[in-house]
Amino acid sequence: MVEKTITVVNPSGIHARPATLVVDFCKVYPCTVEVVKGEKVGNLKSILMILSMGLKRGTEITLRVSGENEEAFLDSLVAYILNLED
Amino acid sequence: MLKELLEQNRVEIYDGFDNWQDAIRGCCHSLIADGSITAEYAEAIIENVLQYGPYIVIADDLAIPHTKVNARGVLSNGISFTKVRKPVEFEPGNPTKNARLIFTLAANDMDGHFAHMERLSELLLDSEAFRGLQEADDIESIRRLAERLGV
Repeated sequence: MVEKTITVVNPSGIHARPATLVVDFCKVYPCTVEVVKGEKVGNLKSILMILSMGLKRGTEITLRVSGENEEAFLDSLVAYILNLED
Repeated sequence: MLKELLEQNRVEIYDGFDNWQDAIRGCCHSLIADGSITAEYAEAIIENVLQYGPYIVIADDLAIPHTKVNARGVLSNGISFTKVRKPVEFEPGNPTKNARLIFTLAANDMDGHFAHMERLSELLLDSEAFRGLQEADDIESIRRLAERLGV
């Protein structure tokens, strides 16, 4: 398992449309992908779960990946989330 | 949240709509009626879906029509629930984008929007509540569901 903590930077935060993009990005990866905010842990392959976590701009989140090629996937996921446009 | 929506007369049931655009206009009805939005907001949502695709369908059988915070036609934060008996085809030909449960969201500030989203998604992550809404066929059964689950 590998993890990395980042801050949500896109202006509107991870609301419905970006959440859909993140889920689509994660779904192709065959293993577990989670987001941690405080004590809450959510599955990054579920839009409802992401929306229930209130990931506004400025929120600190930890991304947790476990499975094959986890490091490479984590790096690409971090880049993807940091580059969400809105 | 369901109890609150029932008290605010923001729960409606329809047999069906001719197309997804009319469904969005219909789902805005209760929020228009109580002055949370104007009819313009429905058109703003439709334009957004035409631009970005049916991303408002966030789970099987569930759509959350909304658009940007402070979009035209938004007068105050509000949320409504519409049950449509005949599934609305948000992307005709792609049944994964069909929905009968439709929560319409309007927000005039980002915090309000996120607060709605958090409460709504917590309700819908409760599989009993979700299934209950899928099965409910009239306002009274939604009221009983809300009371039984305390939601």
